[in-house]
Amino acid sequence: MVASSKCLLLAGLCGGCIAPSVVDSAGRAVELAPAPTNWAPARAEQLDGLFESLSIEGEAAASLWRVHYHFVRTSTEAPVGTYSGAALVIGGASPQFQTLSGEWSLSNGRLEFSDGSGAQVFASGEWLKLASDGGVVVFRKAAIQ
Amino acid sequence: MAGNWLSVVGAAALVACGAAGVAALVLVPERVTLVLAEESGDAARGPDPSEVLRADVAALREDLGALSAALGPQLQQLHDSLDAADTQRSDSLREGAQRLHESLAALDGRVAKLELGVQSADAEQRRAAVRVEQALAELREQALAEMREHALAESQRESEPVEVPSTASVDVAAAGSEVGALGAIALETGAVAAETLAPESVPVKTAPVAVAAPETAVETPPKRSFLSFSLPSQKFSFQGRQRLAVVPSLSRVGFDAKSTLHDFSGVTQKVEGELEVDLAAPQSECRGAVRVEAKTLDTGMADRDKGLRELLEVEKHAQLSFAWTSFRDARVDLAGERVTGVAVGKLSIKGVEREVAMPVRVSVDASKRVSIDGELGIKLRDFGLEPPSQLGVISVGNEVKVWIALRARSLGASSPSKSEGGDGR
Repeated sequence: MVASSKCLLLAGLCGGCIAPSVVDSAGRAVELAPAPTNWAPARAEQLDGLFESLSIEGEAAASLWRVHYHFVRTSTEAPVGTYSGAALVIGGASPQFQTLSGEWSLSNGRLEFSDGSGAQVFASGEWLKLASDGGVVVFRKAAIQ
Repeated sequence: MAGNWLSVVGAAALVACGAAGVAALVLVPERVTLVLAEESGDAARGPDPSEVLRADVAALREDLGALSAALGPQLQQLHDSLDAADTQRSDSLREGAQRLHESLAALDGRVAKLELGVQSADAEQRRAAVRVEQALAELREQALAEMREHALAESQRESEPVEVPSTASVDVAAAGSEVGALGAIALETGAVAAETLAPESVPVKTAPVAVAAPETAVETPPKRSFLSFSLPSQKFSFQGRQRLAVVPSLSRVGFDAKSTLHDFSGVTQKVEGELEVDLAAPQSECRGAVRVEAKTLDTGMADRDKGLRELLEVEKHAQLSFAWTSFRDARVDLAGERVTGVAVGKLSIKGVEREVAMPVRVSVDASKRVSIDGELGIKLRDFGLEPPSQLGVISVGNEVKVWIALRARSLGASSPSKSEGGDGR
C-alpha cells in the first residue's frame, strides 16, 4: 500500500515534469558529420599524411566503399610527392581491395597522379576533397597509430 | 817641286774667285739694301699683342655665351627626347622579354601536358590490358564452371568419363577476344592471353562441351576508372534486380512507446540485413531480411532498458527480425529514383511471428545509397508481450510504433549467391 502510494505520487509528480524522449521522425536516420563548406584549392603542404574517406558521392559511390590515400611531399620547393592509395571496390563478384601508388604533382588546384589520372583538390583544415569525373570524395586526415 | 806647284794653283784659284765676285757685282742691275736701325716711340711699335689677344678671347667668350644661350634649350629638348626614347625602348624590351617568358612557360606547359598525355596513354593501355586479362580470367572461370556443371550432369547420366578437348581453352580465349568494347588493344592482348591459356589442362573429366562465348561478355562495357582505381563496369542502376546490403553504421531501428510517466523511444544501430529487389518494379519480387540485436535497444534509462531486456527475453531470443516477403501498392518515380509502397513480411519478436504490412519510402541519395524508411504500429500483446507496468501505476501502452531508417548499399545485380553485408559508407 505504501509502495503503491509512492508510485502514485511519483507518477503524479514526474508525469508532468519529465519531457518525452521520443526520437523525432525526421531525425531517425543516422547523419554523417557535416563536411566543411569553406573549401579552397589545396596547397601542397596540405597534401601530406593519411586521409580516409568519409563520404563518396556520384557514380563512383556505387562501386567504392572506402578510399584511403597516404601522401608524402618529396620537395619543400616544388608541389610534388609520392602517394599510396587503397580502396574497397564493390560490384564485382565480391568486394575487392585495390591498392596503387605513384607520384603526384599539384598545379592550379589540380592533383595529377603519375598514371595520368587526376582530380581537382580542395582543402579545409584537416579535410580534403577530390572531385573528378564520376564522383566526389571527402576525406578527413587520420592518424597512423 | 810639287809644293811650289800647289802654291801657284791655290793663288790662281783665289784670283779667279775674286774676279768672279767683281764681275757679278758689276753685272747685277738691282741691288738689295739692308738697313738695320733702332725704332723709336709707342706708335711706331703698334698695338699691344696681349691686349689684342685678351680682346679676342673676350669676343670669343661672348660668342660662346650667345651660342650656348641659343643652343641650350634645344640641347635640353634633345636630351629629354633621347631620355624618353631610351625609357620607351627599355619598356618595350622588358615587355618583349615578359611575353617571351610567358610564351616559354606556355610551351613548357604544353610539353608537360603532352608528356602527361603520353604517360596517360601508356597507363590507359596498361589498364586496358589488365582489364582484358581480368575479363579473360572471368570468362575462363565461367566456362570452366559451366564445363564442370556439364561434366557433373553428364557423369550422372553416363558412367563414361571423356577428356575435355583442348579446344575448350581456345574457345574461352576466343570468347575473351570478343570483348569488343575494349577495342583493338583488347583484341591484341586477348590473343596473347589465348596463347597463355591454351596449354593449361582442365582437371575434370567431362563430355566434349563446346564452350560458346557468353553473350554477356560481348555486351560487357569497359571498366571505369576513378582516381586511378579501376571500377566495375556496371554503374548503379535503379532498374534491374539487385542485392542491397544494410550499412549498420548508417542505419537505425527503433520503437516509440507511450507510458503514463512519459513517452520514449528505444533505438539501436546493431542492425544488419539484405534485400533483393528491382527498385523500379518492387512488386514483381522482393525478399530480404532485417535483423536487430535485441539487447542493444537503448531507451535512455538503464532501469527501463533492463526491464525491456527481461521483457524480450534477449538471452533466449537474441534477435528481432523482419522477413520481407513482398511489396505492394508500389508507386515508382523512375526519374526521381523514389518508391513508396507497403513492405509485407513477417515480424518476429521474442520468437512470435506475425505478418505485418509496413508503409515504406525508398530513395537513392547522392552517395548511391538506398534509403529505406518506414514505420508500423503494432500491439505488444499480439506478440505475447504484456505491456510493462509498475504496480499498475506507471505503465507502457500496448500500442507501440516500430520504425526503420535503413541505409543500404547495392552489391550489384542479384544472383543466387548469398548476399554479403558490410559497414561501408
